[in-house]
Amino acid sequence: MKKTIYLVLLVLALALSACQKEPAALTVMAHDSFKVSDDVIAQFEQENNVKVNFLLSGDAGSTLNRAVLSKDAPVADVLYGVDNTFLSRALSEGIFESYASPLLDQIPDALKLDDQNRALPVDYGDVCVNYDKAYFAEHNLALPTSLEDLTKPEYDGLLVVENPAVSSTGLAFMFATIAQYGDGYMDYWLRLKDNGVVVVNDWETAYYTNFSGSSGKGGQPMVVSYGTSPAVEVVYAEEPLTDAPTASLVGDNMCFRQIEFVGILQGTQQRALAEKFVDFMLGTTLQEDIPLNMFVFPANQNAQLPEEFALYNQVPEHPASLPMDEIEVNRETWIAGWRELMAQ
Amino acid sequence: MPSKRWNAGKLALWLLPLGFLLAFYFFPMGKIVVLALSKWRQNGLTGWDWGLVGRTAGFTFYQAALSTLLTLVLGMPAAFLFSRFQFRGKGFLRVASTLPFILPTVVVAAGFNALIGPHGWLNLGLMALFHLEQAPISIQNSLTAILLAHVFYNTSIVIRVVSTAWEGVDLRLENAARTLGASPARVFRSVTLPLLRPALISAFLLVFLFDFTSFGVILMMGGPQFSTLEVEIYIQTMQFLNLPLAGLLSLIQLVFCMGITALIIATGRSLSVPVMPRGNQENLRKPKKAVEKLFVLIMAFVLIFLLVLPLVALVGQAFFTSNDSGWHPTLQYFRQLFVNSRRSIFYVPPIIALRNSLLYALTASALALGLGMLLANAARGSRTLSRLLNWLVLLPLGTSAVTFGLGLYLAYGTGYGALRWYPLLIPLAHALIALPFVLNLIEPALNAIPANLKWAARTLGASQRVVWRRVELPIIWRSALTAFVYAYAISLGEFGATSFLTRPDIPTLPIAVYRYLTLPGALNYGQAMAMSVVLLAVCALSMFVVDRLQLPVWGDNQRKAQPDA
Amino acid sequence: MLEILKIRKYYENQLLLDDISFTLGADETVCLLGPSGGGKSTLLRIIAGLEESESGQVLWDGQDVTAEPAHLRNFGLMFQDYALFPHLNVSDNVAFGLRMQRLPDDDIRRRVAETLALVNMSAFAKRRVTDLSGGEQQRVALARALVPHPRLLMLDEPLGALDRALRAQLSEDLRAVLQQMDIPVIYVTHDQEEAFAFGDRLFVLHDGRIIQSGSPSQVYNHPDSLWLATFFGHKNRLQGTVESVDPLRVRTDDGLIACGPQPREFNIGQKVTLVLPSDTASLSEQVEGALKARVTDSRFQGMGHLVDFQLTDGTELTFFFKDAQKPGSLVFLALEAQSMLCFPALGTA
Repeated sequence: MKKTIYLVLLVLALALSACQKEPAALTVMAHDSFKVSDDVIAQFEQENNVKVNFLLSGDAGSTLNRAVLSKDAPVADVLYGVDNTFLSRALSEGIFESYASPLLDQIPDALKLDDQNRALPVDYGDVCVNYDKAYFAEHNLALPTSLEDLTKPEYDGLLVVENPAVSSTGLAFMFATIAQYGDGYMDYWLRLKDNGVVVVNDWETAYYTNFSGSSGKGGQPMVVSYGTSPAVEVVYAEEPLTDAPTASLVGDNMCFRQIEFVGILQGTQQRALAEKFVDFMLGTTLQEDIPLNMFVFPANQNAQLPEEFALYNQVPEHPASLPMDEIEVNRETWIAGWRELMAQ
Repeated sequence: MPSKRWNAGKLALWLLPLGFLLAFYFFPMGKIVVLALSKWRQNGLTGWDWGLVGRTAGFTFYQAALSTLLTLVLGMPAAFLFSRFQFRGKGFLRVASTLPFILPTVVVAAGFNALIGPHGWLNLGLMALFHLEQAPISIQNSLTAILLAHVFYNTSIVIRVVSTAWEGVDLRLENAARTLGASPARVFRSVTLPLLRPALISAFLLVFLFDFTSFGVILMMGGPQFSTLEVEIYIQTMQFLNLPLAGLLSLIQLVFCMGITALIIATGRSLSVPVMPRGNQENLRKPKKAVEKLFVLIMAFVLIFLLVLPLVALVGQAFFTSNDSGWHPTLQYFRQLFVNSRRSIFYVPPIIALRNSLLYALTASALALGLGMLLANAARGSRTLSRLLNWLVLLPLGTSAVTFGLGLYLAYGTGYGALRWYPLLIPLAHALIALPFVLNLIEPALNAIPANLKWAARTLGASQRVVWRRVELPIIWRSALTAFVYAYAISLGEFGATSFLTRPDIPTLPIAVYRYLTLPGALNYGQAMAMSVVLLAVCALSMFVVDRLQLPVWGDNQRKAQPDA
Repeated sequence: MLEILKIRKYYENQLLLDDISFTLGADETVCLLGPSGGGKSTLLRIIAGLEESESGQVLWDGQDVTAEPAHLRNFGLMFQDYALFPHLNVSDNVAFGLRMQRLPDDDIRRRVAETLALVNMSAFAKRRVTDLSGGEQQRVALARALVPHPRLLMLDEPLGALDRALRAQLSEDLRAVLQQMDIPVIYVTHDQEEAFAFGDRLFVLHDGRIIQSGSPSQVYNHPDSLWLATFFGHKNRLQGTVESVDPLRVRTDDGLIACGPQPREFNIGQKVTLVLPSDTASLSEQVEGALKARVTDSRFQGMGHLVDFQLTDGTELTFFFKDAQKPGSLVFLALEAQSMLCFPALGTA
């Protein structure tokens, strides 16, 4: 027995010593979907003689919540991944320090939502309805061009959406319907429900189990996903594809635009380095690395887009959007209303 | 025994496990409570809805009770099968029926979908066979799916806990009852069942708590129309950051869980009968009578169908690719695991994820086993104490994973530089989750040892410690192994607490699986399945090894012994 | 030399052992006789150091060992259910105590072999103990208790779990083995025949006290309580009143009965119970001083016949006779005054 305990202590001690060799470093907190190429980060580390540690903290909501909860004893210097649906909470909780990066000039004003520059836009993307091209061709079905179309009988039972209470894509799509219908969104969802909309909890189930265009070969040819999902299907195909098997519906207000922000966390002890990292995130090197890693569009207008993005992605002309304060105030009520309606 | 005096050793028995609980359960939970209360004072309680809470609590209880019942209905005959019969493929079936326990929910959902989803193999097969237009099996987003998944997950608990006890039930007792004129059913009711009662209660409690606090299964298999307390807590915490409400819901869940647990422990736990332990293989026999053969056949079939087939479907997903012309075998997904195609900084080779998982699992299970043994020893001789301890270690299981994870994060995860402690916290959290399993397997086994054996060893010159090492430990060896395997499996498959404490550069296997699934694309999906297969294989392999472990022999006389074992 | 001083033990608030004291000579075998559940095993465990008493002392050679832990006392104890270690085979069970003494392997092997030979179990050395019969287990348990050369050997109902034929056989073997050992032995049993066969001295334990001690024949022939007489199996009883004290005569409903000298004093007029051992009656031609009785049953019992009688007042008696008696016949029974036991009647002592 004693031996066991010594063994455990030994293993712990080893693990500990292995972790303590890290030099002083910059810590970046981000959500699980954050991805970046190693040489890009290596470049930053070399230029500034620093080690960048990343802390991935769950989805966008969890990440922000963890930052809020550790406000008094921050874990990181920089937080990336707060989007416009959560921005209001981040700002009112006061987790960010202002920083007017010189690179903000290269970013369109439409993406800048905080006039005090506490949160700086890094990228944006749309949550759209994807459809299975083969299914629509095979059944000779016309594509829906508006949210209203989705309630038509010919699309009965063909759409799968995510639960806005637990899924950020589901939430974004619900916001799109609210942007379109205002308080009438409940009525719209009632009509969707009557038209056999399938609701699942998470994006993984919706995309991989229910959507007929994915490898899951499910029963619904339309799924609420991302505007860039078709490009991802090409990039991560098993065999090289000449065309995407899926595409997005980009009618007016059919997509909800998500903008993701970076900010310097209140109380950082490395303000200078943190500023450099924010600049680096907004600079073209990292901005051009973003699309094929995270499958969103770079905020910097000077960044070049990869050809997959141009070829396979449909970009909505008039994406839906909601004022962030309105989102923060109404989020609970909207979701509660939706759940009550859809649970019946 | 003249050990009423409190010496240093006895004190250590107590302090170590209690200190552990205090530091890694009560302190984090205290942090949460303080935070929730201060927010409550600031903003008041918003979003409270009696109807919703009532409905949710009701459904949580309903599905948990139903799931537990079904799990027992399947698990009991399966435990009988494993504890009484010797048949070909038993080792495989035993390990295979434990595997579901370690799988992340995402992967289980994928396995079920591949098997009985709208385009699953079973449905396609049935449609082809009977020329059907529509898939005959449709359980997606239904209570049936939830129940099925819970049975799939937890039957192994019943099998392991109950069959370990059942193996120890002397066949002669049952035979004696038969000769006294009792029918087989009567023997089961009035001899076997009472003897199995402590184990049954343990199994029931563990399964019930798992089902009651179920999260992933409800979300992935049940769909949005089903919500448990755990799901509500998750929504209130992660979506709305409504800590007062989340805290209140956690409290309701905890009180509910622990109330039921206390009730069951109080009414049922006392009946632990010391039975002279029998040799390992002694109660095993080959099925001879036609009825027995039929039973073994049917049970094996049911277990394979319910527990093994979804795993097979999963493995199939990793090794086969489909296109318009049908299914084709491929190793592409596995090859791709070793390729960092996008040169992502977060890419971790599978071998590293594997190493992390194994290191965590070994540390966590050794820790849980050590603490479990200390606790089991500390509780000895006092029924009240034993009940209290059993109740205490079950607390983490009844606690909302989100709340607990958040508590650990608040207590140890925040602050500059806390990051480097994360790898240490993971095995600690795993050990805490595994502890009730360990205690529930070890304690009944320990209590079942007749006092005379310990006394005999004492008079032969063995100190308390030597008695433990030379007599008690060898006798409960199988239970301890089972406990170790469980702790190990729990750690390998744990996702909830890990996801709170993981660092991107040192992910575990389930975390790696999950990362592949957050992106669309057939290749990502295939790689997730391939990674799951790696997880399965590693777990199966370790279990096979552990299952075959014998206690190191003592003295040279033992070596040539047991020619027929 | 073992000395037990005023051992007192409660069990669930009931007094189980009430100030037990006795001493045990260097190579003496003492039998502790008493009904099951009377605290005999508890006493052994207290002596062994496995249980604590509320008060009292255990001394060895004048040294107080009460606080010494069990494993340092070197007192051997053989349990009623043998308590063999199920995870060890026969020879490892026997070797257990030697391993505790950290003897060299060769010594251990040799002594295990010797002891197994002593109990006739050499052929079973590699067997699993769970495969052994009751008698074989008993021998292994005995070997295991003997092999470390304990300073004191305690046997708790060593033959209790065996059937009758086996018991006779093993009883002989056990006697032989114990005689070879020069150690004090405490032999606990509820069976008087075993106690008589093994004990140099006999202690009778009843209601938490040693109510009588002495050599087996002394104790058997002169039980000094009605309870002990009954415990020894003397079922024949007559109630009466003391008519004269010297010589002692008792008036019963069936006549005046003469008793031999008794260890205790009686007063004239005192109510008494007479106990008549079953081998103390003979048929009498004389009516005077004899009991008139009717034979109700007569059954063969190996060495003779057990015959049931009914007296005129309905009292039933059973005596041992060499010859069978005819049921229904009327006889006169002469009683041996010397064997007659007289006790104060219940509730009047």
